[in-house]
Amino acid sequence: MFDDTIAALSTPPGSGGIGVVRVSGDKALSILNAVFRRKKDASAMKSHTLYYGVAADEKGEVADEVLACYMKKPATYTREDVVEIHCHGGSSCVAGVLRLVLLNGARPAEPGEFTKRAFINGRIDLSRAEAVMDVISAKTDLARRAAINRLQGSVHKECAEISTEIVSVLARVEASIDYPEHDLEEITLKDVKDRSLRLIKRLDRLIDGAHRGRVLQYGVETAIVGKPNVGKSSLLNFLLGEDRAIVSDTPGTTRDAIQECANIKGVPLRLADTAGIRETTDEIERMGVEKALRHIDSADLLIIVLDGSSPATEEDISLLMNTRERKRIVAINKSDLPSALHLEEEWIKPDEIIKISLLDEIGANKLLEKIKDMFFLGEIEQKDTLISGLRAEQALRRCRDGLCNVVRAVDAGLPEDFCTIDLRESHAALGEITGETTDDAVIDKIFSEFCVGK
Amino acid sequence: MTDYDVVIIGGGHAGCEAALACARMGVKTIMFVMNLDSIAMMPCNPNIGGTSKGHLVREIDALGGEMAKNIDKTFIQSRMLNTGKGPAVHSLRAQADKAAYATEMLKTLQSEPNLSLRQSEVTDISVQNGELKGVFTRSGAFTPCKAAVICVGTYMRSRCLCGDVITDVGPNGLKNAKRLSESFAKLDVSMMRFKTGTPARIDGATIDRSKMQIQPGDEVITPFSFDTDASGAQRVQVPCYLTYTNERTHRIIRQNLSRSPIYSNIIEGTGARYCPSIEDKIVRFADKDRHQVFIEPEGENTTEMYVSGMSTSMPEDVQEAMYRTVPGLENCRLTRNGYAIEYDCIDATQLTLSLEFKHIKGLFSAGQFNGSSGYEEAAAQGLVAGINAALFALKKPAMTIDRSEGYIGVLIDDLTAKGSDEPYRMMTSRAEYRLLLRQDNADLRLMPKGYAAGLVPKDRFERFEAKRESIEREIKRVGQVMATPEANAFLRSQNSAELNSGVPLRDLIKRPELDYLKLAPIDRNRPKITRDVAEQVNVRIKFEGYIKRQTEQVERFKRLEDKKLPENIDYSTISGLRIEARQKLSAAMPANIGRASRITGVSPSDTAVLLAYIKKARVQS
Ligand SMILES: Nc1nc2c(ncn2[C@@H]2O[C@H](COP(=O)(O)OP(=O)(O)OP(=O)(O)O)[C@@H](O)[C@H]2O)c(=O)[nH]1
Ligand SMILES: [Mg+2]
Repeated sequence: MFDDTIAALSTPPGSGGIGVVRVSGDKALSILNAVFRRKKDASAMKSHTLYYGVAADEKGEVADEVLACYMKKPATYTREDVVEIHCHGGSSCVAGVLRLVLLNGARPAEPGEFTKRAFINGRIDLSRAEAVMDVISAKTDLARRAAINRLQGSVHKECAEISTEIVSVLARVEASIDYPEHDLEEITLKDVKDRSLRLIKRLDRLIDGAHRGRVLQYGVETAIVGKPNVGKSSLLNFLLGEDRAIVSDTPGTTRDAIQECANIKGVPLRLADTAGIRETTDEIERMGVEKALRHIDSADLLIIVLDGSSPATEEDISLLMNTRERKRIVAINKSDLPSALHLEEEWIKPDEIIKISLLDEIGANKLLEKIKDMFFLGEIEQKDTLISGLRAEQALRRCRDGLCNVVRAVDAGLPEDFCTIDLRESHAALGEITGETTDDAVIDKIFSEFCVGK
Repeated sequence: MTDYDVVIIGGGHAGCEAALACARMGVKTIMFVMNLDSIAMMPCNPNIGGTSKGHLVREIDALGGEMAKNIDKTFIQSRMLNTGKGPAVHSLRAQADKAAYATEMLKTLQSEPNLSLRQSEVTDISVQNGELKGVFTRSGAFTPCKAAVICVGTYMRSRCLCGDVITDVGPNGLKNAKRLSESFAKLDVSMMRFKTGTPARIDGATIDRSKMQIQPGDEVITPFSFDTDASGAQRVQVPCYLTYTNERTHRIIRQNLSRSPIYSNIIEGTGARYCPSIEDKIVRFADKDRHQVFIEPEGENTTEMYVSGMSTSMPEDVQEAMYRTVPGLENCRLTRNGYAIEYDCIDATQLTLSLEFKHIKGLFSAGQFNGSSGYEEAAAQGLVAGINAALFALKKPAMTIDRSEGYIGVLIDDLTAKGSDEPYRMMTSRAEYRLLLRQDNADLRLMPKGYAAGLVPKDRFERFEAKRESIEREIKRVGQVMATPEANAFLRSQNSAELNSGVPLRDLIKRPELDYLKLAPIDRNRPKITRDVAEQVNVRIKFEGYIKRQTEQVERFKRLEDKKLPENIDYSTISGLRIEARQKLSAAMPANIGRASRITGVSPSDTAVLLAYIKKARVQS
């Protein structure tokens, strides 16, 4: 019924234990055959039987030791051919195996998609499916937002720039096709090729970065926020177990946001220590504050730090009020000092509060437990971070493939209109990251840039 | 009183195609026109075809329409554009003898036994319970009918503007139509107001051709119609001329901008970005020091010429002054002013792919009234609406064309699915499956549809079948015939790599430096085939890889088009759709998931929700 094959990590992400990568669709078995090597045994795999081996790429580079199982349809969850690969639960193993599967022809599953298939193929009943469908639609937008959030900053900007450049080449070629008699500066095939090659280089860098997890990292996006001098940087250092950020008693110490990864009791966090929020005339500090506000918007989890030794200020109250609907932990720091902080019920729910002292590390363990519980009880949406990262990587690869075809077409001496087929595909692939659609973009560009028409 | 099956309202390019299609499909047809002397009039540019529009004309021909045949009879110059580029974007354009074009079309209309022509203004449309009953004309006379096609072009409540002079007329100073607009308001049809324009005409006897660059036609003329014999189509051609504006022209325009109705905000209608007036060009592209101006003849029996590139609604005195700054036009005399025209049109998202109103059975609409621009776009819609009006009258299922089948499909899909906030012009860049939708294979793509609808006659279809078979046979043959190293001398002469062993001819055709025709010397048993068959064989083999890829894209597209959405669907009850998507979908009521996905404001995740929804509906029933 469906013509593509989907894959996803089907166990809750986290380190330790086992991660199961599940694949469903017509290509499931051929994908398994491509990535799974058994030690001596070369006999065909029996359905519904677990085999031991390794997951490796075509060059033999091993991603992980795994157990794999092939389940022939229709006796499966989705009523399609299903493959499960059980690997070690660490994020790099799971990511490595999932990546192999995707490179061999599966596409990342949308949130809830296995269930959706199970329903559509008549495996589960309507009442269950209805519940799932609400989630599907809610989640696809979330997943998209996550991909965009993650890519914000340099990577997103770079994608947007590449996209703009592709549109600019496309518009030039298209304008010269639709308006052959206008004196437009004709774009030469050499130009098309050179610009494509430059874009391929830029994409290579992005893909490389994405692959090494430098930019598309895995984890719950967590922002540490609060007014100046409450102990945000101290908290970051504590969570990391190292002195990463400068701590001082001068308010406004942290200017630029600091991002690091941490593993809290098996929960992967992408932590951001941000500048203390306050009105300020200092240009650089103000930029830091704006950045902090952006982190608040995009984070999956907020840790709001308050100073327990002094009364609540305007900044504290407005921060608490503005984030009431969010997943958050309110850490009341400096509990080693006499308490002077009074909190109104309207600002905060009691179970959000954790009293700590970073100086004495009192209550710190409670904070760690709280994060862990929220994660495993499903309170924090993880926004399918890993999948989105891989999806973005796939989109970048498809974009690159398209541009390589453009170069090939030019080398083969094909006329320029052939290039447009691949340029369009490249642009559409990036569109999954940038959200832009090709047709309108190209036509808008033609008319804004070139003086054409009768 | 005679009974009619179908009423056609309007005698422009859409109306002519609609009327002929109906009459030829055997239904009794009457065409009401405001003025019988202005049938098939070309009130703007004197040419047919051009990039992407040439494709439309070929497709009209393949379906059994008239435009291609009519221009083949009356052109005075012909050019194939973009021949330096790939076959997908080759486009034919012909300069028309405007008067001859109109006369020939009138003759053709008059020779149809099933068609009556009548000069009378349609003032009201009668609808009961969502079904068309007939039309009223000015005198109050009622003409009952099963179906009607509205092809009223730019005549609805139109007004022309030239400086601060506003005249209450249609194009070319002709009488406009007012009452019908009110009738549409009563029928709950949502209307828009668009604007377009035309340049002045000048007397060709008063221009200096030596100061301009001559633009001749092609040496070998390619006709538009697949039926026109190419050797018979050759004739002496009339040239066009190219000249340029300059700083003086621009200065005059800039000094008088406040007198332009556009910049003084008199104009209400939305103009098109691709049809800018010269004032627009100078304001928007201030750094360009010159703009091209093409001087095109309007016919063989007139000295009037069209000033392409200088469309304007400046006051008369400014027009004359600015045209006279252009080299070659220093002493030119204007014969007609340029003007801007605004008119009522409909929001075409109220129509189905067969161009029928979703809420009025039997009422069809085509042409500029649907928010498009251009003669070819109008004719293409007229033909599709006409065919469907006739099918409706005959109680047969509708004929539609999708985006993967033709430019006509792209045109109608864009108009009816996306809607347009400016007059819509066809462009090759709008066709995503461009390599499959070539002008050279329009017959292969669409003639079977024209035949199935009953418009393409049997003998023509049989000739077409023979052509199709001979293409397939020849493609098969060159895949089997082997070229051997014996051909190496020939290959050397073509700077092509030599062979060590035998390869099929097909492989040699794919080499960039070779093609089907070039291989004739080493292909001794080649059967006698026509040029157009050879062309198809060559293109199909040479670009096989790309054609295959586009075919795969089409298959993906078709899968979504095949997923029908129920007509009574209530989008407000589908959980998971975003609010914006719900509103857009409820307004558009798309026929299938593919069309839904192309509506601006419907996101990929909304499409996913819809997919799941219809699968669920199917499981339930
Ligand atoms: N007494 C006490 N002092 C603390 C505690 N935690 C942090 N401090 C002190 O509070 C001061 C501010 O700490 P930081 O971690 O730099 O605070 P911050 O919120 O990052 O401040 P900005 O970067 O300026 O916004 C330092 O002098 C810390 O030593 C605590 O639990 N108890
Ligand atoms: Mg700090």
